[in-house]
Amino acid sequence: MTTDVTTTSESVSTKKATRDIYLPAERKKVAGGGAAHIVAKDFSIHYGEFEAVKKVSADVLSKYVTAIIGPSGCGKSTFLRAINRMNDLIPSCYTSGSLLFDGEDIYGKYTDEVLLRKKIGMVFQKPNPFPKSIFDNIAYGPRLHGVSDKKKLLEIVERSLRKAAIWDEVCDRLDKNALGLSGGQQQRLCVARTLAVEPEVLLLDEPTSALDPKATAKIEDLIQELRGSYTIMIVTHNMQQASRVSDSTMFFYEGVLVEHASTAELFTNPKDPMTEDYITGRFS
Amino acid sequence: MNIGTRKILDRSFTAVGIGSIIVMALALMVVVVPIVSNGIGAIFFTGTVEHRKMLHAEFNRGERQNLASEVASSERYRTKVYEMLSAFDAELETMEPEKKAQYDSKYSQVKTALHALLGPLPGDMVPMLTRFKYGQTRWEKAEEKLHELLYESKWDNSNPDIMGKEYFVSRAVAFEGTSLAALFPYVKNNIEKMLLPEFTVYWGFITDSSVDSHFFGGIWPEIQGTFFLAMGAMLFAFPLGVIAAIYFTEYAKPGFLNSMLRSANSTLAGVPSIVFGMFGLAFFINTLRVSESKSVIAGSLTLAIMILPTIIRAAEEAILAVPKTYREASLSLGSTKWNTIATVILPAALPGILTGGVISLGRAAGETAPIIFTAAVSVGSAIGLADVFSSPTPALSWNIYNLASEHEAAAQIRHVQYGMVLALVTIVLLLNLSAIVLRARISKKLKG
Repeated sequence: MTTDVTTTSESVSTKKATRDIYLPAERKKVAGGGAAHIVAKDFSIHYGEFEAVKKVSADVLSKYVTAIIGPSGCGKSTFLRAINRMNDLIPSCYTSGSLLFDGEDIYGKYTDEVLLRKKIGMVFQKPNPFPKSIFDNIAYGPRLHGVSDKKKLLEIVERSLRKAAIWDEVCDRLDKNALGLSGGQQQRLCVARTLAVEPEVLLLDEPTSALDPKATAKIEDLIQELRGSYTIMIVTHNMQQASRVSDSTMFFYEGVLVEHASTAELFTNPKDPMTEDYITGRFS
Repeated sequence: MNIGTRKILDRSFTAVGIGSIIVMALALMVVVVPIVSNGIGAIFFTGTVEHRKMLHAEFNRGERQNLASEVASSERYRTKVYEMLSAFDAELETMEPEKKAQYDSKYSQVKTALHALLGPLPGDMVPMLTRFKYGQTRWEKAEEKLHELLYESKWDNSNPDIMGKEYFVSRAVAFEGTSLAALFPYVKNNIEKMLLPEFTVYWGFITDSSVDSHFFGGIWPEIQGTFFLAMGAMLFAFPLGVIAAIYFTEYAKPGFLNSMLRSANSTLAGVPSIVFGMFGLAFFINTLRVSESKSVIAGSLTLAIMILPTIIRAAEEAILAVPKTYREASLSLGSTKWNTIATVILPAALPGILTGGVISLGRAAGETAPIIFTAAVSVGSAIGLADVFSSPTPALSWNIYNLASEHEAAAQIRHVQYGMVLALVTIVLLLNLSAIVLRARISKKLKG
């Protein structure tokens, strides 16, 4: 059932222009975007015996928003976490095939995963600020990467918080503990923290699943703001969310990338009957 | 189960819970109340003029003039006692040898009791041991000695089927008809004027060195020794334990060696402390030769080995309790493993690690067995910091044991022993309290 999808993506990876099929026509084009930023080719992820992601081949276009949908346990989070090698924390996890970031193999022998994670930031399902002040949370990354000048740090903190649309809410209490913020604020803080290290890619792993609708709306607005500046990948359970925020959508089922197309295309005219069943809610 | 039964069960469990807490509290009272009430007696007590004389002579404390007038006024009453003695001495000379022999032993008993009560009698040689240079320094002891002077203790062994019964015979009766008979009522009536009892607060018990193996003076060398030993143990064990815990939780690959090491660590935590003591002697002193003989450093190392497993365990638990999300967040920002450990995991685990550390410190301060062969001596002066590599030290735990079991005059200085127990309990309690406060403060800081 994957055959026609994978062949499509393989053929487009050679011709740049045809990649536009991933982009919905009604959405604004991003200047300078659209290059294949992350390329998976026959990429599989195993947890010991279990193959969680099976021979996925796909392109993720730079500066656009790519959504990953699929039922629970379909491997979408695993795939996302593989991109900045968060799965390294699981001892039994190994990969096969290739996964390229800017043309370099993410799982290459000489790849520095620390450098990679600096370029590919991640925001997690549950807001996870450090038990430190708001300022220290944002400044954590820049400090790690050698910024120690207080003025410069303050500049970065302000810029990141503004980008994450939370500056106005926290500007007068930067020295307060971040755990005192509300869930939605914490999550935007985590986005700001990720932005502070100036990544190229933003991976969002179900960023709104622990938030109320109002906070969710703010995060979605934020994603729209960031579109065009960062390559964004968002895993979500919420199909409305995927259709609202993304340019292209991947549908995973049982570890297989069933379909990858422009969001408008995938939701209005799915090619695969499985996709259709899922988006019409026949199974979840 | 219906709602009625459930409620009855709930209620009876509550009752059992409260009951067990009450029993625990009572048991604690039974332990703590005697320790506090007896231990406090080492500092607050009714002291006699002999105590003030001793303080002045041994520690150069107290007002000279005041003391001189006190001594003079007590001497006025004592002189009469001494006069009676010399009068009786003269009377003995005039007696026939058989009659004289009859009084000999009884008279020397009286003299001994008087010496114990009032200090050396005129004409006695100056005693070698400080404990014999003074009369009773504490009023409650003076009252006991007075009783000994007034009454002779005898044992009634007439019934062979039961244990002997003690009974008292007035000494005055034995000296009926001699000039000495007047001595007993005189001493009884004027004892307060001779000893001048007065409520005394002796803080020196904490800060003074002991005189004549704890007969007089304080317990500072013991307190300081305990402090040195415990601190030394922490100095070795804490960094080592935290590093080991970090290795176990963050770096070690699961496998045979790792699980062996972990179970070895758990086993070590259960080894009796006396075994550590013997090990310390055999390894640190006899094999490594960290010092010629017993020394603070050898004791500290032994204690360190003993508390190491506890520190490792506590630190491991604390590190494992740090949410995985912190680690993920830090790594996803491009942090190295070591940076993540140093800047995120250790700060978050700090309350748990410190609690384990302070509780271990308390345990190191309280342990006796590991230092018997490696560091402790029963009598000694406070040592300087430079001496920790070569000299042994007195320590509270060991000296409590020593005073309870081995001291030649244990019964006469119970107050010192209780004072030491109170000091040790207070130190350990304060350490644990500081652990609780520390933990609360850091947790509060972390939670915001």
